[in-house]
Amino acid sequence: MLEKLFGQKKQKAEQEQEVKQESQKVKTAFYWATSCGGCEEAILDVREKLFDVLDKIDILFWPVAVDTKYSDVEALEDKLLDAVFINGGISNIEQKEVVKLLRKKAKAVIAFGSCAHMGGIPGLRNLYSIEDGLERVYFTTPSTYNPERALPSEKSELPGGGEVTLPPLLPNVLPLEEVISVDFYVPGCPPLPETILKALEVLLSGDIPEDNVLGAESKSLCNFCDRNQSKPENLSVERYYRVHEKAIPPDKCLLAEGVICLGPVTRGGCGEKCINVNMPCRGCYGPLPDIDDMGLRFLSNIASITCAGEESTDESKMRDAIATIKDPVGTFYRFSYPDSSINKLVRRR
Amino acid sequence: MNNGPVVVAFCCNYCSYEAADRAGSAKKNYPENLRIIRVPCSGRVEPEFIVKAFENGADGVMILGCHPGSCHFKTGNHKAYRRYLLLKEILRAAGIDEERVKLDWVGASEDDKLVRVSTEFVEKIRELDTGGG
Amino acid sequence: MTRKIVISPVTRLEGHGKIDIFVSEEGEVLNAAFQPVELRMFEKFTEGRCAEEMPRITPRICGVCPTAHHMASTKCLDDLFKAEPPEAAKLIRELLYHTFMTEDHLLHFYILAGPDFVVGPDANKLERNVVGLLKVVGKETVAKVVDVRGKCRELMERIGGKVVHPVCGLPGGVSKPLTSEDIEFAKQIAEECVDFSKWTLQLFKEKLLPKYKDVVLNNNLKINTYYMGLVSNGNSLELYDGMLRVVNPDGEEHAKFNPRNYLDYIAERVEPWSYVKMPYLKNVGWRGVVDGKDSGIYRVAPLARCNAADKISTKEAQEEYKEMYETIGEKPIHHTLAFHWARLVEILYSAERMQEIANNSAILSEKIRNENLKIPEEGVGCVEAPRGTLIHHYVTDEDGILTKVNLIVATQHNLAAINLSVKNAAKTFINTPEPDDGTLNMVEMLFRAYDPCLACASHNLSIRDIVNFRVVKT
Repeated sequence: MLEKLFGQKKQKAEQEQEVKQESQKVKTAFYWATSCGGCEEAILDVREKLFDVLDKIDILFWPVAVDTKYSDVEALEDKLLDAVFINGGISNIEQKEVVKLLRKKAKAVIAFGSCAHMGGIPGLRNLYSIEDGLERVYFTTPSTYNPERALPSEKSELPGGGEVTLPPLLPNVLPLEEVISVDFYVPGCPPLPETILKALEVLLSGDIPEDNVLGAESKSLCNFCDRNQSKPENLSVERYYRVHEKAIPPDKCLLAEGVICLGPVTRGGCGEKCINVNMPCRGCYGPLPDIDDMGLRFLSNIASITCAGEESTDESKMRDAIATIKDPVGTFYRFSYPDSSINKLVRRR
Repeated sequence: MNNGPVVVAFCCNYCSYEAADRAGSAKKNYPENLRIIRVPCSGRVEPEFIVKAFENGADGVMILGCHPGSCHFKTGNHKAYRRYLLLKEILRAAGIDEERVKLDWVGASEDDKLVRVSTEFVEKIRELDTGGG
Repeated sequence: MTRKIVISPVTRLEGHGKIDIFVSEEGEVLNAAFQPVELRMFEKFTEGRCAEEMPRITPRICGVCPTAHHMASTKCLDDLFKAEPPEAAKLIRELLYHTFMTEDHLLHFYILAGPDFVVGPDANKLERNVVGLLKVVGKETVAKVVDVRGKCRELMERIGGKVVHPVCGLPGGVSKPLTSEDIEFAKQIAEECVDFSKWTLQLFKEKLLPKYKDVVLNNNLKINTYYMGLVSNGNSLELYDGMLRVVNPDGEEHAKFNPRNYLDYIAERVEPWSYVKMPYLKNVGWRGVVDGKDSGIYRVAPLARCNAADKISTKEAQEEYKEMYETIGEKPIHHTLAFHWARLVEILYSAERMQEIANNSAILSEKIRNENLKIPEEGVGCVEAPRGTLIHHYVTDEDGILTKVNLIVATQHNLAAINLSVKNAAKTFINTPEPDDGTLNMVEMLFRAYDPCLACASHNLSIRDIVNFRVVKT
């Protein structure tokens, strides 16, 4: 058994040598932080086309795919890795440390997917304090029976003996660039196969767009949407409808029908897959190049088109119209809350 | 140097700024800690400006525009109002007291109103600050 | 002095879990545990959100089984708004769901766990991956897996909008009807899925089972728990809808209830060494991480579903179901590694259901939404995810804004059992204070049988096994 182990080690060392010698190939690594795994599934969905790209790439570290450990990454020369892809936001101490290590060893770090890009949906937990979150999860959920008020803790003793640890949570979910410097972004929740391929092509070609966002368009989704033609010149919405409150005709612009759709502020390139099944865009491809705060820009957009045709001075009409918009923070900032100027303001305090 | 709260007031050129000017000329005092920023129209005020004011140390932000129907640019103030309504909701959800942002209508000749609303607002902010708002 | 071995991260499933094993100097395993190390608080941050957005928010719990969350959430909305979907909508949802079950189970068998079985659990680490699998089953087979899965996912995209994180679910229906082109495509794929799942079962029974019978039937790895799964009124296995049925370790019915009443039967336990809570049967009680009739621990997912049901409603899967029980010779089956067999039976069932549904012309109706929604208050939605029973429970105000959310997510139900299995496996296979990689993988193998999805990891084709262990003297 021991020989097998040593044998394996030798093979591995040999392998590593071979890999290091193949300097023509782009050396990559992949890591997931607070990730749902959808980004990994998205890579799998690239399927056969991935192999064309794989010929040009070497994966030196991918906790589920390649037999290397953190200690192997530590042992690499700094900046040996050409490109490190990280998906998921940063929400605990361990993830923070791992991405910092990868940053040291990387020439370029790519934030892959909405969570690494902007915090993602798990970033909505920044609306609540950790204490409130723990209270709900471990004490007040109706199925939880916890009269001792036990809580997961950093160090604890197993029943039957043995000390074990858990990595502590950070008070907020952070986009990757708030923990390490990020060179490029591949947007989407998840980035679609077409986007991933395009991003890899761009990376390998070296022809990088100025804003460092790869694979997606720099024009809004509306530009590519089939329903755009049905959007009137002077759009005015008198009231808004939630997705269950209206049947949307298959060829009409959703916003024009009064359904909140983030198309105007969101990058195109996703094929409008949600629109194609009559559901509105929720902005997972992130903001257009000139937008810093996606939610606030969309707020302005919506304010502009609400009761826009009104020459009247009716404040109450405007109030009523705005009141039909429910949960603006969760809708305008669905994927981008940690990246918002508002959350950053709150976090700084 | 006064140690009261810092309050930023975006005042539109044709109405509220005019009122502030008149108040000043008539020696009707509005609060010292009111920092007035003149904009061509209240509709010029993007929600980003308001957040940026907070980022830069403001404790409260006012947007003072023309009365509905009187806007020099016709509908700029209406836009400002609708943005304001949405922004307040978002601030509240984010854990920032929405009372720290206030929009009001102040006509060019309403120097008294300008003094009143700004004084009340600064007081409100002072209360929030000391009460831990 | 006790040595502590930490397998971190555990692989070919969620990368944010670890296994701790405590071994004495003499090589006796004193204790072991599996620790999920992640917490994202979905139950808290969904408060304040619009209920109808939940089918698009909750799939972000898991990118490997987003369709399960999407479906549980959508059904929860049906209950919340008291809106029964029309026939076509139900069929569309079920078609999506069974297609998803098929491709997800296939992913697990061939890519995640397969290498253990196909190549061998203590084989050379560098062979325990798809490349090794390829050598045993042939390149064609692996290509076929990729192809079948790919087509399933294409169908899922047509129905759900996006395959990862679908969007079509609405209270009382779905957002878009299917076209006859979609249905022709579905019929074609369904047939391929039925054929391929039958082929896979044959491969399993003829090539793998004889080789690993000893490990599969090793009594030390047996744990005698209760089992839970959805069933029809006649107690045939269900994945999309039904009643929840629980059988005890002897196979007797312990409970059968409408998922709406889950709180009467299920409670969750908090332990300081795990971020994830552990459900157990309320009226039996929590006795710690132990099995047996007196312990409220139960299992879910394929083997549990087969145990909790009396039969399967589709013809060929029913035959396989019977054969599985006859071969092993007992019901319920307690042998953890039999989860793999049950999973393959489920693939056949889902594929047959795909065929049945695709051939039901009612699916083409344009009437896909019941727009008669009542004022929302509270709702529960339940489906069987690939990895177990999934429950979504929402409470809203009159406006449909969420005030309280409770989620019991598939793998949670199995967590206590996983711990028990890891402990048993460690005790069975480890007898030295410095076990080698192959031995440690045997422990992981037990873990993988559950196909755990702890906020899910996804995996690519060149799966390799990583065992990163440190021996720490305590």
